[in-house]
Amino acid sequence: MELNCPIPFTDSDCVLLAHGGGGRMTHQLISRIFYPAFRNPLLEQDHDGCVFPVSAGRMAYSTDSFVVDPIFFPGGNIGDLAVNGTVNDLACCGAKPLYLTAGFILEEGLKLNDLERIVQSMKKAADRAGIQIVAGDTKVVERGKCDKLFINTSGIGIVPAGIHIAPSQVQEGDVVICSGAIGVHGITILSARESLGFETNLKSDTVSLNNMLSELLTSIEEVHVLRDPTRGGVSGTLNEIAQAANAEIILDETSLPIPEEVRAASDILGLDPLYIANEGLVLIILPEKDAQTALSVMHRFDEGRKATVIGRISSKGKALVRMKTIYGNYRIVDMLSGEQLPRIC
Amino acid sequence: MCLAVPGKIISIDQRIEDLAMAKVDFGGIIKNICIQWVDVAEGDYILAHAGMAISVVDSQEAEQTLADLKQLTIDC
Amino acid sequence: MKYADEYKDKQQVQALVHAIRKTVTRPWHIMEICGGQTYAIARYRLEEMLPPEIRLLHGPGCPVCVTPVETIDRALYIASQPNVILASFGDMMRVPGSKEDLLQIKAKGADIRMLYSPLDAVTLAAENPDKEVVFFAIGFETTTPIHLMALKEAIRRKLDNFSLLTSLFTVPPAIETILSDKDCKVDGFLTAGHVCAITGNSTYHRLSEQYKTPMVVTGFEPVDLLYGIYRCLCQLEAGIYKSENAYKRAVPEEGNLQARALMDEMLKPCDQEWRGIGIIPNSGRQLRQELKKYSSREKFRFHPKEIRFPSACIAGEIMRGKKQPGDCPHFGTACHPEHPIGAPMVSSEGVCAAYYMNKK
Repeated sequence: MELNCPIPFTDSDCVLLAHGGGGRMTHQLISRIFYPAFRNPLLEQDHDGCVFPVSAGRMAYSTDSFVVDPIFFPGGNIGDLAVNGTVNDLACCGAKPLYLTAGFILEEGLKLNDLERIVQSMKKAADRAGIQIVAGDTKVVERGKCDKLFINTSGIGIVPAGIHIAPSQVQEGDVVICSGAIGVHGITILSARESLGFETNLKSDTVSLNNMLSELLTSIEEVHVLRDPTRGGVSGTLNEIAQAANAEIILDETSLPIPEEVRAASDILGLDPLYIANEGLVLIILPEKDAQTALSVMHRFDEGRKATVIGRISSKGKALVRMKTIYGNYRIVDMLSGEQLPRIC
Repeated sequence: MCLAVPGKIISIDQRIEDLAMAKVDFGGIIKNICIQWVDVAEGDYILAHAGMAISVVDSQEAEQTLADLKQLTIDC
Repeated sequence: MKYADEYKDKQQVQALVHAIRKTVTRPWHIMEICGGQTYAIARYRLEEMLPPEIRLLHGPGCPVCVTPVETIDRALYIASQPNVILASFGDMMRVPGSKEDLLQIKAKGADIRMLYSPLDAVTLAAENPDKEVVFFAIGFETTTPIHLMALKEAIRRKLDNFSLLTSLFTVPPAIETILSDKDCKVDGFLTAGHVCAITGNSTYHRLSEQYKTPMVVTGFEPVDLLYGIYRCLCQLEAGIYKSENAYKRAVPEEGNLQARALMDEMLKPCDQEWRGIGIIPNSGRQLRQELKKYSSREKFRFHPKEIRFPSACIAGEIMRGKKQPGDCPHFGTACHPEHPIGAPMVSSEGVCAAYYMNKK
């Protein structure tokens, strides 16, 4: 008979508390999953932080945390969402995004395969956006203390000289351009939730917008506002812009690019597409004279192929969003009080 | 009071007695809807509320209403 | 979507508005019963397209709005009990009880699930045999039989852990209450298309005859609504009254016989309190005696404390067609969707919220 001391498992197919303990298993997790995907010289400084040179001028800095249920959905997962979200926030500041950090909070029991898939998606999204993930952190919490995983990303970018994106620049007569179909991400997420479950061919529109926006800013001198209408939807974002710019925005209902599936799902669930979240969409406000140029630039990119003018700034001095309905009358498009809930009546 | 939307029956599943279900297409959104109360075939349109088909859309009546409305436009 | 988009058509809307303008000769008050119609009217701003002679009044057909505070408190109490899953339509989540709402107690740890269909609650009960699954079954005649369908399925599957917290209303007694009021302003009714899809039109023939008031079964798209208004107006101008059907594609004369049979089989009438209005005799429905083990009211003993009514709310008068939301001193000031004083400011088809969200 052979006697063996029980040796703790180090090979597991799911995340264990020990993976966050800072010991051997933490290192294993980092070296097996994170490093191979994100590998770059800055990350490989292997330090408490990353040190990099800066140029003169202005930088943009942004952070966003990602919690989404389910973590995998048609068209993406929480990983590409986390990269694209912060990249887009930087791009909407007019910046060229450079570096991202990623913080992971993992629930014990999360499948390592799933984590790996998510990390690989982050890598792909980072490559597409042309940015590097230069530092990261992992914590593991007990089961039930978080929902599978949460990701925070923070990013830094350089704002080229001469670019000033700010709602205060908004002028009467400016047009509002929407880069693509409205409501697609939010409806896709709902479709993937068991409790509401429906089938659709929709895929999340999550994508980085910095390449298109950088081209836009090169072609057009005066871009007044860039904003991605994520939470709160197109309506929430336009209301924020109206407030910040102290301007009235008038939308044209007939020109809103709302896909039939989004309309249909909204009708079934009693939701308004204008309040549904988007992840690969940008609203742009610029002078009317530049609208055609802007559209032709955007139409050259997949993510801007359906770009269209959806409204204009009708006046300054009063913060308001109104919509000219299909029948030619007007209604106020307000901000939502809370989260939009599905309803049957 | 009651949100109900028209959709087209794609396929019917009678496996559970007294709880006939159908896949219904609402403009590209497919949902499982109970069709126990309606007499329908694939291709028919129903009106669904809270997961249940509450009536069959009568295509002849729909056409008649549109025709009535057209007449009204001419008359006025 | 077919059978919906055609009824949003701009030219058709304009033609109907034109026809209404040509037909009207004097002021009329027309009430739409259903909250879904109130919402569509506000959403598409139909009122301002109508000639000034026609005023629309907004009826009590929103189950979310008329569910009594006591019932909401009961739901909150039940949801707070151990081993309970309370399932509800999203509509009820933010409606204030006397102290809290469902979202608030969910945040404190109650297991509350938002569902699209009562049938999904049966699945929930099957998946959680060690929990009591309570479905918050609110509704008028359209939704009521669907709750019963769910209960039937739960019984068939021998799921004794399933029960319904009912808050069920019927339309005709409410119409009678409104019409019996000596100050009643309503000249004609648009009856609720989706309720009639279940109940049929026979009761409305009787009501129309008895109260000498036109009643028109009406749908929910802008063209449907204007067509209902037009048909109602034609009756009023001609001095006739009858119940007619302007939503024939969805509403057969006899309604849905199977759904009606289910309601007769499983429910009995009861006096019912309508939030903001009061008790209307025989206007409610409750489970029959032999089904009481599936009634959450029986399963969970709840002793309501005295309920303080927000006295500032004039919802009752609005739903009886006596006042408009704009007549309320609190509308849009003390009372708004983030801080509702009364239920009609909560549900998006509550008349006050519909007005607030879609104001000009």
